[in-house]
Amino acid sequence: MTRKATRKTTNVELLNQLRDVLGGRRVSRGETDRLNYGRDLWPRSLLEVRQGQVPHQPDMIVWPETTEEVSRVLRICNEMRVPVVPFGAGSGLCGAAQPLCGGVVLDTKRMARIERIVPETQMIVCQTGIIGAHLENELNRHGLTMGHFPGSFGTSTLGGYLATRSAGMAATGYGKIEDMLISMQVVLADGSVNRTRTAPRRATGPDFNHLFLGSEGSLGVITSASMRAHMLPEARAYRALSFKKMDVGLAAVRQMLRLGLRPAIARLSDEADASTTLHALGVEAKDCVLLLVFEGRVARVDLEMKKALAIARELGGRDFGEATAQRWYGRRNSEQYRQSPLMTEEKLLLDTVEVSTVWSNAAHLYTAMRKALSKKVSVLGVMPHAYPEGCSLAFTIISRAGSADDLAAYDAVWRLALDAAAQAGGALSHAHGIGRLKFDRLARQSPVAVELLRGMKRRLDPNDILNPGKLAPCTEGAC
Amino acid sequence: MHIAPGQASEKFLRAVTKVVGSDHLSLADLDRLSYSRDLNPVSNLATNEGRFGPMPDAVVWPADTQQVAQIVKLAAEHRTPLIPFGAGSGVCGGTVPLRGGIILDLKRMNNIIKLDEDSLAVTAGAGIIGQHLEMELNRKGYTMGHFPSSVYSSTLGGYLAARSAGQLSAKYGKIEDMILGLEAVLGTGEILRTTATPRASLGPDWNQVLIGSEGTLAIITEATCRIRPYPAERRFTSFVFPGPSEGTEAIRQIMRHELRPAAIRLYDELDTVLVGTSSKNEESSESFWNAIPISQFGNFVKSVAPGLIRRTERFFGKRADLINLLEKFATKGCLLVMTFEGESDLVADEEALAVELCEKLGGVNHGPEAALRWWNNRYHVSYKQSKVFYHGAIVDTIEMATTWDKLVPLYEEVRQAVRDMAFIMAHFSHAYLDGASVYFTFVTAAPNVEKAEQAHRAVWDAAATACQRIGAAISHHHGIGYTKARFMSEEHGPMMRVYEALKREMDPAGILNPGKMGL
Repeated sequence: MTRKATRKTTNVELLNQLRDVLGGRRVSRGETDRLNYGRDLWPRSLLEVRQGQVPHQPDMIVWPETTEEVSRVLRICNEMRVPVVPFGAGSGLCGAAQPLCGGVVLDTKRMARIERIVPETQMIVCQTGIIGAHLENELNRHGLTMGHFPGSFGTSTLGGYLATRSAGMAATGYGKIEDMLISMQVVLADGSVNRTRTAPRRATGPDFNHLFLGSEGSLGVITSASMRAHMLPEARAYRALSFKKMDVGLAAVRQMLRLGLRPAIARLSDEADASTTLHALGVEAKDCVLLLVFEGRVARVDLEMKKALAIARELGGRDFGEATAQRWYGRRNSEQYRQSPLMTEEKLLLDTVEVSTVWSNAAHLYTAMRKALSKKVSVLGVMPHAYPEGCSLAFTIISRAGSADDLAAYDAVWRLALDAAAQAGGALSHAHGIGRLKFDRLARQSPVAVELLRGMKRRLDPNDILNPGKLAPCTEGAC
Repeated sequence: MHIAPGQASEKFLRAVTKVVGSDHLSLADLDRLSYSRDLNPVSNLATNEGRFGPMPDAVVWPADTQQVAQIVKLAAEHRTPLIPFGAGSGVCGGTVPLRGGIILDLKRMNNIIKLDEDSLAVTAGAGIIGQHLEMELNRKGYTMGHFPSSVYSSTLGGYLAARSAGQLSAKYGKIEDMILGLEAVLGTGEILRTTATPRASLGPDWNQVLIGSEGTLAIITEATCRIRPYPAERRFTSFVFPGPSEGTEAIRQIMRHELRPAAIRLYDELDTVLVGTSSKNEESSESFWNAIPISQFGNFVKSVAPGLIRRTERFFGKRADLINLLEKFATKGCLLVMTFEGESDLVADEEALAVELCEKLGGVNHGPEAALRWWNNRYHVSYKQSKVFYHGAIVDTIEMATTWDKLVPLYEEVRQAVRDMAFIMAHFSHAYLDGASVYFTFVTAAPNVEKAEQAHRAVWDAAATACQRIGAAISHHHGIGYTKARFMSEEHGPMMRVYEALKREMDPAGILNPGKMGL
């Protein structure tokens, strides 16, 4: 019997079983659906689309509505050894949601119910298929905010944030997704429903949240989560400042955080980014541009801004005032949505390499990566998130595309970028995750950690049905 | 006294001696005896009667990570248990060598490897004593901000392994918030090094999986931790609230306004009497309790405990909650102690709003004195507890955590569950945006050690049942060890399967601290 024949029979059987659980309308084998769920926003896939290819398509797509349904779907797929790829809103940038071995794409977006808001605890319990912006709107109605604003805010889900270890634009002030998570419900490959327990803190063994955070669908399907929220800020203050050189701007932000200031956003653009991206968003400033946003009580915001400006002045920063920074803030999410048309219509190759490091290494990492990348592509550099101990650095890479060699060129640029990052002591991703893009390089950089992850994968998912092919080549027979 | 020799094979011990040198392996009775226990109350009780539990076969002092890795490989080969050991101040029996084997004392690995001032990061060996690390940082103008009351007798590795939290956690965070990267030896002898970076999105965070694993998954040998500039200013404030509900509401408001006091501690009525709300001992004729010269817990322990035993022998059987009736005398309300530290103007801003919030909620401002007195005595309690045991009583602490909506119910129900068996009081000492911890101290007594152990166990069972019924965490920062291991399956439910998978993956030979954590 050929493998193809096996799959055909399996599919009919699988379809029947999944329909028993979900009904006919929440299981699809339609051509359009299979095409649409064959990729996420990994720019490499956009290049493939431009060449008329979607090389990995699922056999079917399912839309469960409850944890129980997810559990039953996984049980069926586990018994039949069918791959399952959890899918949020498909805005991932590393190919993590590609159904490499076919199988079932499990779209969580119908699991968007808010289960509970506990006002005194400032906790929201909801299903993970909820879109980030919808969750935030609901919190706003209760006078709360989660403070999580990734660029993909309107097209990404809570489950996606958790599975990829997302960080939003205001991570400096509100923290990253792991700081907002209290507890989660997660369904393992065999369909068993598991959960971490709710408490602000516990010393009762390992923090199991952190095993599933960032596991990118390989260890389990996160179906529900309890998140902490903050009070909506009563005031917001904006400022744009400029510095002659990137290292001076980095030093300014470092000193602000060291002093105990907590801006919601401290984002430093290098000259190239300032004169293109920021300029297009209405920021009129020269040199390297630092955008500062403070949020909170009026008195506190004023005090912190005053102290931040004093540090900036001391380092020779020029003040471009409030209006220009406010303009950027108003348009901050538009960047993300302009990328695809640029790639598909303007025939450009566009991507973002984002890494992280400690402050003592930040200027070096910035210089090393800019130098390495500039040999092949145009580079716009940004320091988008800062912490008291270090920061992330993001490089938008741009080159002409449109030839048959695009994929090879793309892969070559990324090899260059990740090698440069690793050599200069950077962590290979700050917030975008691993996916297909970075796994091989990660495995070379952190072999022991990657072996642990693979080992846990084998133990929690012995049939390798969850998002196979990402942590290791597909197991024989799985596809 | 005769101590039987251990089970470890000659061949294994010879091989380990070859790794560390003969000066750094001991088979001496005194060493084996000393390392057979930590500061958990059950061991304290037994020691008091001259009884000892399981002994290690040997004590070994490795010099570096490579030696630890070699010893782990040997132990895996010989199936000999290995128990990593810091300074032995744990209170849950986490280092008790239940199945014999080797105690791996890491205190020689105590060097500060790197101070990265720009990145506010320090890298040190896991065996460094907390206070030594802090003093070294202070000399350079920094603080780690991690101050468990055991700071003089506990190590960095111990903090990480046991998921420690210090007294100033509201501002500086708990140990898991301080970690940037670590080095650990897995049960296979492989060395895991995580990248020291403020944040990465590269799969599971192994730092957070190893923190709190209490030596069951790996031996943490080195860590890079974040530090902060030494604060320019420190301010002290205290308030008295009518009861725990009002007091915890004030803390909640302070946290949700994003204020970050360094310390924020609320004592219930009984604990408040013991801590005292003023700088002097107040003498008041109406209060029986006040007639006892107690202004702090340490004194209380010294002066009350012997009497308590005598009273216990007479009364506890019939009227076990007699002591708790003393609550009636404790009418002073609940003391809230706060400290703020950092940049002067930032601190002044935070203190002003905290004061405003407390006053709005009916708190009475008691000025800085009570907070200052707490500050000056903040480590004493840990070092005075064992004295209680000399007098034959049992004192232990139960620290739990839950979200704000369940906090007062947790406090009430645990007290209710325990009050017939022990004298119990509480304070709330770690606060978060979404909840807080409650820290109970209970004292009870029994005519002999066997009965004392039973009494201790009964109090814990009652408290844990109440805690888990509410859905709170069974430990906030003391950990599990073996004395609380029986609560783990209820604590984590099916997630214990995941812990077991981690255990098999990281320690396939099952040699790392066996018998702990409910594994």
